[in-house]
Formats: sequence, C-alpha cells, structure tokens
Amino acid sequence: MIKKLRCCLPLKAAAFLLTVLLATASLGLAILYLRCHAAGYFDAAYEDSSAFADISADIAWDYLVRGVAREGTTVGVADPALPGALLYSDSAPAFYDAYWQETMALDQPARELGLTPGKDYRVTVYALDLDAPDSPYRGSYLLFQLRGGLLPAALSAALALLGLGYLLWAAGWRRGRETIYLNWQDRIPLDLYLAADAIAVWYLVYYGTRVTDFYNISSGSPLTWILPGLGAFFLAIALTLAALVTLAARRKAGRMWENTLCCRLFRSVRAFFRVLPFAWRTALGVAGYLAVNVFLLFLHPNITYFSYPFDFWIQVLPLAALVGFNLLVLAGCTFFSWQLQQLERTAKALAEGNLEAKADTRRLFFSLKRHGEHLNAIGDGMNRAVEQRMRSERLKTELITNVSHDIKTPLTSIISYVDLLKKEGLTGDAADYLNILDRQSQRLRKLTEDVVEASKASTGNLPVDLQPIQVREIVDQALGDYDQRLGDSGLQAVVGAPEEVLTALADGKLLWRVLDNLLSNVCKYAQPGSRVYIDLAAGEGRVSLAMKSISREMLNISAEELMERFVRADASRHTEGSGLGLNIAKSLMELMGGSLALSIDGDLFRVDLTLRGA
Amino acid sequence: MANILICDDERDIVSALTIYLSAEGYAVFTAYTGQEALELVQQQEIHLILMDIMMPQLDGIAATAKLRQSSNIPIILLTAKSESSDKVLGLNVGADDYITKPFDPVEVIARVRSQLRRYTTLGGMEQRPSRLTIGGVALDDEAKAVTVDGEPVSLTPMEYNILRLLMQHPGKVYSSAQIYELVWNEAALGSESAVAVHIRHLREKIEINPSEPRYLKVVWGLGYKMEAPGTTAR
Repeated sequence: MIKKLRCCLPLKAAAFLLTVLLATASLGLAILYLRCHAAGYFDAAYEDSSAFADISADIAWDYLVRGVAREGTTVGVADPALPGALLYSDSAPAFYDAYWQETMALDQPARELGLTPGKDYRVTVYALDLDAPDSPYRGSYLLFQLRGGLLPAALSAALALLGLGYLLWAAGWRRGRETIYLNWQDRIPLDLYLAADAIAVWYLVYYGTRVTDFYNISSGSPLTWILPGLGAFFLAIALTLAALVTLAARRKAGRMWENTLCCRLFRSVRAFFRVLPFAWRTALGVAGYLAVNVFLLFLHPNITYFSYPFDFWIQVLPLAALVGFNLLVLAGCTFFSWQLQQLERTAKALAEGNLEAKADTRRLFFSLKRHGEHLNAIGDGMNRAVEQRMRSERLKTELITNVSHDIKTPLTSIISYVDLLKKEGLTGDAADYLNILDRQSQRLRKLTEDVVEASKASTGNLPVDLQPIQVREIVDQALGDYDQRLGDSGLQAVVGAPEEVLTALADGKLLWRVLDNLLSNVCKYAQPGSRVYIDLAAGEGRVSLAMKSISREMLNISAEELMERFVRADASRHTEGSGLGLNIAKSLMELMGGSLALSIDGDLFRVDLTLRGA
Repeated sequence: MANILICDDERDIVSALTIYLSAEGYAVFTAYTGQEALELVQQQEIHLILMDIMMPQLDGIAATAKLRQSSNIPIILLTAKSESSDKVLGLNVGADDYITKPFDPVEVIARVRSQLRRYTTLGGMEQRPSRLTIGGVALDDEAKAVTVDGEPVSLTPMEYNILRLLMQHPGKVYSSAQIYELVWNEAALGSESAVAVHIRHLREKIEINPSEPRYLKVVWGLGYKMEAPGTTAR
C-alpha cells in the first residue's frame, strides 16, 4: 500500500499540481490580505456624507471633512445655491483611512473656481458605487470581498506543506524498482540545475511582486495583474518545488555531490594531478600559489590610498583574503612537513630494526599516505620474514635436539658393549679394531652433544644470566682445569693482565664453555713446547681477552673458513673434535653481547674475545 | 650384597648394565617400564634403583615421585636429556643422582657404589664437633682424614686446607685470592692461579666426574664453593 502510494506517478503529478496551486493561492491570499490591510483599504465605515467647509479665505482655502469616508468616497464642493452642481471634486481622499479628519487644500484659489470668499458653501462627500459595472474599482472591490482574512491563506499553506511532505517522501521511487530511480531532471548536474532554477525563480518573483504592486492592485482591471502576477508566482513555486523534489531524490540516492559540474571539474583536476609525477605536482602547486597571491594583490585597489568614505569591503577584504590565504598555505606546509617527519621517524625505526614501527596513515594525505602504506608494507614483509626465519630456526633446533636424543640411546649401548668387549681380552687385529670402535664412538658422542649446543647457541635458545664476572678469576679457573692437559701437550700458558680488577658482564657458565673450547683447541693444535699468551685489557667500556698460540700445522685456511661449522684446521679429520668448537664459542659470545674474532698471521693463531664491561 | 633394580625400556642397555653390576657382585633385578619397577619394589627388597626417564607407561620422573611417597632408597636417573632444567626436575622430584646418556660404565658403577655406601653405612654415623660433612664428603679435623662416601681419600696438606676452608662455610663462594690468603696465609700477588690447579686436583680426588662436580662447585668468574647436591637449583 505504502509502496503503491509512493510509486504512483499520476498521484504524484496531481499532488505536484495541487501543491503548487495551493501554495500560489496561499501566497496570493496572503499578499492580498497584507496589501489591503497595510493600506487600510476598504476598512472604513461610511456614516456621514456631508461636511462643511468654511470658504472664507481669498486665496487657497481649506475645507474640512469631518467624519468617515468609506468605499471609494469622493469629495465634492457644491454651491448651496446651486444644488447638484459640483464646483470642485476630488477623488483621491477616498483611500484614506477611517475616521479621518483632515484638512484638505484645494490646489486652486477659490476665486479661480468661481467661489466667493466669505460665502458659505456646502461640501458634499460623495460615495462611489463600487459595484457599478463601469466602476474602475470594481475588480479591487471584488477581490476585497474575497480576502477573508489570514485563515484561508494559512489553511491552503498547511495543505501545500502536506503535499510537499508527500512529494519529498515519494521522491525517487518508481514502480518496479527496488532502489532509488533518478529521472531526467535528477540527472541534470545539480549545481547547473540549482543555478538555472534560482535565476528563473528570482526573475519570476521580481516580476510577480512588481505586477502585484499595491498601485497595480488598487487601480485598473484585475486582469492586468491577477493572471501575470499569480502566473509568475505559480511558476516560481513550481520551479522551487521541483528543485526540492529532485534534491530529495538525489539525497536518497546519495548522489548529491557526484552529479555536479563542480564535482566533475574537481575530479578531473584531481585525476590530472594524480597522473602527474610528484615533482610536477609540486611545481604546479607552487605556481598556483603564486598566481593566487598575485591575483589577490591586484584585487586590492590601492593599498596606500584609503578613499572616503572608508569602504570596508573594498579596503580590508582583499587584504584579509591575502593574509588568510598565505596563513592557510603556511599551515598546509607545516602539516605537510609534520607528515614527512612522521614518515621519517617510521622509516628510521624500521631501519634500526624495530619492525613493529608503523606509520599512522589515517593522518597522512596524498602521496605521503601511499608512501606510509608502502613503509608499513615493508615493515610487515620484514616482520613476516623474520618470524618465519625464527620459526624455522626453532624447528631446526628442536629437530636437532630430538634426533640427538634418539641417537644417544643406541650410542649408549654401543659404548657399553665396546667396553664389555674390551674386557673380553681380544688379541691381535681384533684389539686394534676395537680401539678404533672405541675412539669413533667417543667422537660420535662428543659430536651429538656439540651439534645440539651449536644449534642452541646460534639460535639463542639458551638461558643467559649476565652478571659481573672477574675475568682474571675465570681465566685462572680455566687454566687450573687445563693445567694437566696443557702440560701433557707441552704448552705453557702466560697470562698478561693489568693491575686493576677487570669485571665484565657475562654468564660464567657460558664464558667457561667458550674458554673450554678455545683451550681444548689450543691443546689439540698448538705447537708443543710453545707458549700460549692470554692478554687481558679494558677500554671504552669493554673488556677484551686475546689468546695467541702457534699452530702446529701450517694453516692454509682463512679465519672466516675456520669459523664455519664442521670445518677443522686439518682437512683429514684425523683428530678428535666435531669442528664446532669455534662456532659454538662465537655464538655464545654473541649471546652474551660480546664478540669473537679470529686472525691468522703465518703460524700465529689469535682469538680476540670482547665483552661488555660491568 | 645389595639388590639393584635397573629400569629402562631399552633392553640392550639393561643387559649391559646388568653385566657390569653383576660383575661388581650386585644382585640385579630388571624392569622395562615404570609400572614394572614399582611392582618389583613392592615384591623385593631393593637397595638402589637405576631408572630411565623416557619410558612408556609411567616415565622415570613419575615413578620416582611415586616411590618417594613410601621409601627413601637411592634412585639414580638415566636419561638422554642433558638440559639442566631436566636435571633440576629429576632432583626436585626426589632422585639422588643423575647420569646422562651416553654414559661411561665406570662412572655408573662409581655412582652406584657411592649412593649405596651412603645409604647403607653413613646413615647412623656419629656426629662429632670436629667432624664436617657435606653430602657424602666427611672431614675429620682431629684425625686430619677425609672420606668420600666412607672411602678414605688421601689429600696433600694444601688440598686438605682448601677443602676444610670450603667445608666450614658450605655454599659460600671463595675467590682464588681469598682462598690463597686464607690457606697460604700470605698476600696473593698474582700467585692465586695456583689455587685453581689445587682445586682441580681436589675435584679429581673427591668427585666421581670432575667435569660435573657434585660437591666442589666452580662458580665461573667468581670462585669456588662446597655444596651438597641439589641445594642450588641451577
């Protein structure tokens, strides 16, 4: 039902017509009422038709009409001696307000009118018969009888408003369509439509008010103003109503702004700007800025000359516009720089490794917004990559740990049974073979432990408890532990340390493992009978330890290669060890926030450890 | 001789350990799950248990916890896990010692012997004021004698003095310089490195595995301390 009501086209057309008619009628009645009322037209009550004039003056004389004139009363002056003959008549006073008492001046001297001064004349006030077919006031009078006060005007206005409500409510609906339908007039660009409409309405109203001017209403035939006047108002109201209806339909469709010439212009300018490279855009922007500035400067008539009278709009407005425009541009530039600063901050944070850093793109505009989005995308991508890498490293460590656990169980059996076999007292080659089995199973055991440790150390999967550690103490402790083995290898350790106590920030257990690996290497690879120098030093908030030894074999391998996993100085791999020692040591040092560096100079093998001082 | 229960799901390891411990003269009982071990303890008089941690049906940790509700027989855990957190968990649950796989059979026997001695002989040891004990290590200052798990150990005078100093204040960390000054009675002027060598020798004498000391612990970078096993959870 409701749907039908809002979709029925004939109903809408009728409502439109009716609304316009009602509005016009309301307007016409209101105008009529207000006009008549303001003029006091027709309101007087006619009571007396006679008045007396005292024509005693020689020259211009006054006559007095005492009483009430009404309905187009005319005044005439008659000689009592000559009844019926009007010496003078004047129709103008007829339209004065009720209960007047006025002195009227005859515009001619009494003598010229043939009146004798000093003589009594009778002044007669004549009432016009407005209803007479030949009366020029007949039209006005008829209308006056129609006026009826404000009530009919208000009533028809209310009905017109009702019609307006219906039309606005039903605007844009069409039978058989689920969404808002825009008809031909809704598709005219809005700004164009409104401008044309406004001009037409303005002209029509101007014309209508002129035609229905008081003087036109009050005199002459109603035909001279009723049809053109009301016609103009009718058209003006119809145009206004049509504009309101199309506005309603457009609003419902949400296309107020899209379908305007301004929007199209703005969009094409914007599209043009978007296609332009940023540098060109900037150039055009600056050029536009200068052009506007020049225009505003020329707009000002003459800054030094203040004309009188002082005209605010001409003198101050252009100046205010100039200052305001430049302040606006200044604010824009500041905002732009601020945005750049945000972007720079984000980029810096990203560069420093804070992958969580994000540019707040809601507060960025134009290219900067896109730039910010790209930065965020880079951060996200890097984050993902790092996360993936971390996960894969963790999985690797887990895999290595699990595999190593699984290897350990059979290895336990192998070691145990090899030991039992040795107790069987095998002789000859069998005993040699058993020794090889023993040695290799021990190597395998060390390897499984080292692999787990290397993987944990390199992925940082170890708990690190950093505490102030006395470097000299731990070096002594380590050398004490290695006293026997160093002696067996024919090596002598020489510690060089400054007087003061060197304290470094480290995890004692991890640092011991580093020293353990290094000293174990020294025992294996240093030239027997040589010395091992361990020098401690401090500086720039760091504590350093250098361990120098002479290699037994020629070192035809680079320091970088030595640091790789599973690489050992002797390519034949005859000696025990997994080749992971240095790699583990380096990882552990890095876990503690320190570093390990290798250098090889001829046969001199040097390891440099640095730790943060405490 | 003592009755030892070996519990591991790996039969080859159980039989190897059986051979070793039988050769030492122990009576060996075997179980392959934690549940079996619990049943055997009910039926037999067991003096020591060697238990694997990763086993089907009731693992070593759970079995140890259950056993500890009713008995205080020594339990040594065997496991392939070598993380310190696993060791702490085992010791907290009530195990007396911990051996990681792959193990040295000699070390297993030594630890078994140590635990048994403490369990059977040290229980009712009389306490004298001149006597200092930490775990299985006992120092008699009157006789100037040191025993580990009841076995006499011969120490040099310096080693003896260091051990006495450390045992007088269990858990206290002494730096090399402090030990030097207190034991040698002279200022340590760069000669404290000798202390580390003495400590190393001392560890070799009183510890089963000097690299994983139970009593004489190295606090790397700070010094040394004597401590009963399992008192510091780290």
